Amino acid sequence: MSKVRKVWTRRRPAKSSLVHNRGISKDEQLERVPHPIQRYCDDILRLIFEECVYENYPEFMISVRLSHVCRRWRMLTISTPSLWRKVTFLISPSKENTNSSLAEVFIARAKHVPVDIRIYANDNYLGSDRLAAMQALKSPYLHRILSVPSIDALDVRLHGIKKLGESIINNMDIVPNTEIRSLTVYSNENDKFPLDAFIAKFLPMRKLCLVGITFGSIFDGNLSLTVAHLVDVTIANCFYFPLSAFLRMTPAVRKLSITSCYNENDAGHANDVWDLPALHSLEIDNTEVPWELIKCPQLVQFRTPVLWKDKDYVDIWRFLTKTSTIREINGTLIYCPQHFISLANTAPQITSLNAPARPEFLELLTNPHDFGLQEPAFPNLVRLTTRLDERTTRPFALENFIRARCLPRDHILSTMDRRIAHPLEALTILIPPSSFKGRWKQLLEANFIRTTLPSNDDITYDPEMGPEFLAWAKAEKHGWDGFSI
Amino acid sequence: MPVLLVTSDNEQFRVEKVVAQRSVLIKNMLEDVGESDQPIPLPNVTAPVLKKVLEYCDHHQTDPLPTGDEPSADESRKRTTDISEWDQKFITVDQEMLFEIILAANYLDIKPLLDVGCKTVANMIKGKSPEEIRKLFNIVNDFTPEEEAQIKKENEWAEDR
Repeated sequence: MSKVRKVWTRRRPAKSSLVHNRGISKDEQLERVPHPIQRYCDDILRLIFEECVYENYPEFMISVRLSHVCRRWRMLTISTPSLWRKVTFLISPSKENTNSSLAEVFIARAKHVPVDIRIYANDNYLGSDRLAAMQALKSPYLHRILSVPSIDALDVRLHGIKKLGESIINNMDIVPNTEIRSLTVYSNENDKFPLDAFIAKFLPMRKLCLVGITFGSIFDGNLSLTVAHLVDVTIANCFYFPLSAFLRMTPAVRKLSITSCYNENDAGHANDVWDLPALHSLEIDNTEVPWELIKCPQLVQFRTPVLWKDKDYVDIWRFLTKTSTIREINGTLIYCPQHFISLANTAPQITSLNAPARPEFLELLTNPHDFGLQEPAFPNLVRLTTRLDERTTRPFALENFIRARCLPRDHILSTMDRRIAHPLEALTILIPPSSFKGRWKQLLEANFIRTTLPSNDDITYDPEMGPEFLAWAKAEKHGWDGFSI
Repeated sequence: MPVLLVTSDNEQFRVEKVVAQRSVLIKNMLEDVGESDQPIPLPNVTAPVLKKVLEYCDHHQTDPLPTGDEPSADESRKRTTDISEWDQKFITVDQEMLFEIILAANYLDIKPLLDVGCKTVANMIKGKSPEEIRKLFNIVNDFTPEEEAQIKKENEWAEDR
C-alpha cells in the first residue's frame, strides 16, 4: 500500500480563518469545512470500504450503498473488485428486465476476483400464467453470471412448489472450466429433483452443501469424478440420498455433516463400512447411520446428535470409546446429566467442550464423585464454552466450578482434585440479557471480559441460542488468579 | 538505545527503539542511518497525534511484527472483525483525533493501528443509508441527473434483496 505523502492541512486553522468571515454564521462555516475523510487518499478509503463489507450481511447491499454516496466514492467502489465478490440475485418476474442488465454490471465489477453468487428464486406467489412466462424466459442472465472465470461459491436457493426451481436448474448452463469451490443447493420442493446431472456439470469441487433435496436417481460414474475431491460435505433434509454409495466416492472428505436424511432404499447398505480416512470433523443428527462401522482414524471434532433423556444411545458411546482421536466435542444437543456422564466415561481425553449448563452439568465437572465417577470428568479439558440458564444453574455452581477447574494449577493441587491434568485456559460464558443481573452480573463483571458473541457454527448451532445472547470470556492462559469469588 | 523523534510542530519525543520500530517507516530509517543519535523528523505528524500513536506502540511493543508478505486485500485475506478491549478504549477519541491517527498510522506504516482505525470508521458507516453517510462526513451529493437515474435503478434493485 502506498503511503500518504501529502501533508494533511490542519483543520483547526481552517476553521478559525472561516470564523472571521463576515455574513456567514459560525455553524454554517463549520459545515463547509471538509471532513477529514474527504482528504484521505484512495488507498485508505479502500481499506475502510473493505472493512465495511467484510463479514457483514448483506455485503452486496453495503457496496451498493457506498457507491451511492458521491462521485469519488462511486468511482472508488466500482474500481475495487473485492467489494463486489458477493452478489445476490433475486429471480422475480417483475424484475426480469432489470436483472438482465444489472447482472452483468455488478458481475463485471468483480473483475478477476472469485465471486460468491447467491441465486434466490421463489415461485410461491406466482400464478400459473406468470410461472409459464418465467419458465419460458430461460433466465438468460443466469448463463452470463455463471460465465465469470472463477466462482468461489454458488448458492442456489429455490423456494416454491411449482417447479420453477427445476426450470432454473435446467437452464443454468455452467460454462466448461468454470471452477466452483463450493456449491450449495437449497430447495423446499417435494418433488424429485433432477440434481445429479446438474452437479455432474461441475469440475471437481471442494465443498458441497445440499439442503431439502429429494433425489431422483443414484449417483453414477460421471458424478464420482466431480465429488472425488470434496473435503467439506453438508447434506440436510434430503430424501433418498444414497449416503453409503456417496461416501465411497469421497475419500478426501475432512468435514462431514449429515442431518435428517432418509433413504428407505438404502437399507441394503446398512452393513456397509464407512471408511473415511481423512475425516477431521463429524456431525450426524436425526439420521440412521452404522455408528459401529464408521472408521475415521483422524477424527478430531465431533458434534453429538440430539440425545434425549429416555434413550441410552449405546452405539454412539461405543463409537466414542473406539474413536479416541477426538479432542473437541460440541454437546449443545445433550439434554440430561446421564448422557454427560456417559460422555465423560467414553471420551475422557477431550480438551475442548461446548455444552449448555443444563442441570448438574457444572456440578459434574466440579464434583465427579457425586455422580459415581471414579475419575475427574474430562481431566484434560482446557477450553469450555457454556450457555447459562438461570432457571437451572445458580451462580455458586459457576463459582465452585471456577475454584475447582480454573484457578492456577498450584491452587487446584493444594485444594482440589490432583488428577486434573490442567486448569482451564479458556472459559466462555453465554448468558441471555434477561439473566444478566444480580449475582450473575456481579460475578461476570468482576471476573470476565465482555466479548462479541462467537459467530462460529459451534455456538450458533445451539437451538436455544438467540442472537441476543451476551458473551463473556476469560481466556488468557494462566490468567485465573484474579477471580473475586 | 532511545530514539529522538521530532514532530511537525517541533516537539521532541525520546522513545525506546523497540517502541519506535513498531513503525515500519522509522524502522527502515533507522536501518538506513545505522547507529546515530540524530533526531528523526516526522513532518506529517503533530505532537498530540504522535503522543497517542506512541501510546499504542508502547502497549503493543511485544506483538509480532507484520511480515509484509501477507496476501493483498484482493485475495482471501485473513482478518478479524473484532477490536481488542484495550484497542477499543484507545481508539475511543474524538473524530478529529481518530482521523488523524489513521493518517499517521498510514504515514508511519503501522498496519495494525491502521486496521484498528479503519475498522472503527467502518463501524460508523455500517447500517447507514447514503444520505446518512453524507451527513456524517459532510459530503456533498455531486451526482449528475443521469448518474442519479442509474443510482435510483440500482438502489431499487439492491434494496429489494
